[in-house]
Order: sequence, then C-alpha cells, then structure tokens
Amino acid sequence: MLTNSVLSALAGGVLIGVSAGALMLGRGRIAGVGGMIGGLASAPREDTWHRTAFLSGLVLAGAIAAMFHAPTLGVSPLSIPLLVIGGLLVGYGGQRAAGCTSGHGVCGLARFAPRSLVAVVTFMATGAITAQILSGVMR
Amino acid sequence: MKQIAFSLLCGLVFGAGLVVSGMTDPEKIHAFLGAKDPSMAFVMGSAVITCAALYAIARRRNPAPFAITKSIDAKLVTGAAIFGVGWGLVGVCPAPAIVAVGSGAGWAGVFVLAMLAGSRLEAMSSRLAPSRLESSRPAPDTESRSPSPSNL
Repeated sequence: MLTNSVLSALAGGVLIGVSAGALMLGRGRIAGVGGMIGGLASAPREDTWHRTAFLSGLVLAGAIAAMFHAPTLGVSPLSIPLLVIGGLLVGYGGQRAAGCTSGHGVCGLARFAPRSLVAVVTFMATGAITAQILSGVMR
Repeated sequence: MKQIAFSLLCGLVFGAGLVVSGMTDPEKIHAFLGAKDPSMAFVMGSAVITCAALYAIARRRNPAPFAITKSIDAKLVTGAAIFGVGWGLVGVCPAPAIVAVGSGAGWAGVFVLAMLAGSRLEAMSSRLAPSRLESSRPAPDTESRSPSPSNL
C-alpha cells in the first residue's frame, strides 16, 4: 500500500516536472499556478491566453479524472467558513511570496533559486504546524 | 494557436501529475504535513529533479529567464508563512484546487474563490503602501509582479 503510494507519487512528480520543464523549453515560462490565477485579470493579453490555456488544462485533467473516478480526488473535511479562511490565506500568502507550491516548490527549486528554498522551508514548516494543530483539534 | 494548444497540453499533463501523485486529496496532504505519510515528499522530489534536468537544457539555449534578480526579503518569508498556514489548514494548494474544480468538487470552488479574493487583497495592499508616500500613481514595482520568471 505504502509502496504503491510512493510509486504513484514518483510517477506523478515526473509528469509535473515534465510539464514545468516543457513550459520553459517551449514558451520560456514558469509553471507557477498561484501567480497564473492571481494575475489573470491584470496580465497582458498574450499572457492571458497562455494562462487561461494552462489553467483550462488543469480543469480538463480534473474532469477526466472524475470520469474515471480517480480515488485521489479527495473530499475536504472542512466547513465552508474554514475553506474560505484557508483560501484567503493561500491567496494572500502566495501573492505576497510571489509563488506557491508549484512556482517556488517545483520551478524555483529546479532553477536553484535561494528565494524559493527559503519559501519552501517556510511554508512546509507553518503547514506542518497547522496540520498538527488541526489533527489535534479534530481528534 | 499552436502556442495556446501547447500551454493547454502542459496544463493537462501537470494536472494529470497532480491526480496520479495524490496531491489532489486533502487528506493525503494533511497526513503528509502531519508527518504521518511521507510519500508526498517524493512528488516534490521527482518533480524538481525532472524539471531541473529540462531547465538545464533550457538554460543552455537561453539563460535570460534564469537570472536571479530578487533577494530574500521579509515579504517573501511572511508571505510563505501565511501561505503555509492556509495550505496546512485546507490541504490543497492552488494547482490541485483548480484540478478539483474541474472534477466538479464544490468545496474546491469555494476555496478557489476565496483564494482569488486573498491574492487581490494582497496585490491591492502592496500597491497602496508605496504609493501613499509618492502620489496616487500605482507603484512602479507592480509591473514586475507579473509572471516574469525572475520574479520568483
């Protein structure tokens, strides 16, 4: 069971890396998803097309996964107010740090950016603390 | 048109990777961040190694997007800290949330809307802060906030 999830984690990671690498090779762009969403309205027009297309690809992947009833399409155990608070924090923080798990965590680390390493260590730490507290509260 | 299709394809592959790896399951992320299931670390590990290999080729062709121009500042650290709290709370980050919206998950829709509001809020507040000192013009650094890779 655990080996299975390690293997699928590795395979999924390779797909993510291939996509992010291809986006740089083909279009000279960083696959930073938080930034793509956040700046969608204010981006230059050529860029809006690119962002919309990439985000549509993500949506499409979700739709296809739902057709095949992918078991990893999880359900959030949180209530709506908590989802809203979490969303606000993720949006605000990601914009402030100029990158999220994909921008800093994948693309930034892959280009050896010191800023990204700092960001990843920081959000992993506060994320772990929050998850620990949450699992304590929920139990 | 070809370029748009290419971006779409990249998004599709990226999304497939998130689904396959389990990143779209909030419970898995909670288990990872709560130190109960280490397998999610392999997602980032293999993604970074694969991406770094392709970036090395891209860098040889055109080093411009790889120039590191911004330094580590308080804004980066506080932003990442706030991001992490939200991520730890909900168990999804921006990309998996978009994938989950595509799968028809209502909870993800709520999360994404709040996320949009949060990032607007930050963009507005950081535009206000410096321009208060000068004039009502938007601060010049708002330009550099758009997707130039050197921004990370």
